[in-house]
Amino acid sequence: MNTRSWVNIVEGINILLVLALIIRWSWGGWTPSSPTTLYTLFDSTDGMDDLHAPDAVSNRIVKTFQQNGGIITVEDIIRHLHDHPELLSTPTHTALFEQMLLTQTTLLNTEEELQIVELKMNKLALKIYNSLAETDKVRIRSRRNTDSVEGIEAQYWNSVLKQIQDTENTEEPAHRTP
Amino acid sequence: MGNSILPLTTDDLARGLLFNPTIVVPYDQIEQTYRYRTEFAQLQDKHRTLQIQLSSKAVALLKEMESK
Repeated sequence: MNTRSWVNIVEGINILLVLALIIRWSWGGWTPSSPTTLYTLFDSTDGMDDLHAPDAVSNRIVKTFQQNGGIITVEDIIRHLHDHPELLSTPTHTALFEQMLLTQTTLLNTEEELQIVELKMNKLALKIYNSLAETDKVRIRSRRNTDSVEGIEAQYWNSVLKQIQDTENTEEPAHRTP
Repeated sequence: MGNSILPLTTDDLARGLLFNPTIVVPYDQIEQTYRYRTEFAQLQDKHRTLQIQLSSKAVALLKEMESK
């Protein structure tokens, strides 16, 4: 067989491959064989309130997973493994399970520490608060939102406002240029 | 924060003292409260991280079991 014949054979195979791909695409599109693991949490039907509600993403994740077969918690897994210990059949399974157990123990210890520190903190804050004169107590209590807004948030608002004003002042000469 | 028994939170108290400088309280008590508040925030952060780690490990175990 000469070179020209080989070229013809390769071209023929290429044409067949292209035809096969076109047929596959026209029948089933380019969808992957396994189901997608991506979920759309928000779409055009959602309003601004849906997007900006407190914990909007967390709540929508829970709702989406409930619609797609429920939520499995770590506790569910542990209970299931307790009833079916044979599922932990390889050293890798056992190692992963031991890591989970270690993390869970640390998590519980951290929760205990959190509660202890919170209790100490609140006791001391209460002690400070109770040591104040009645007028000071009233002043702090009645102005707590105002103090927060005027003392903390106002700095950010004013900073943003200044940035906008500075930007406008910088851009103004350019606007005047014909 | 949490099940606080205070009529206002520790943060409210700290802000109130910051913006009402005429109210005087012992320095050591404020310093100690600040230490507790810092430790509390760090523990909250650690707690969140551990929760994420535990979930990730649970997912890894499930994937490993499904692959067999």
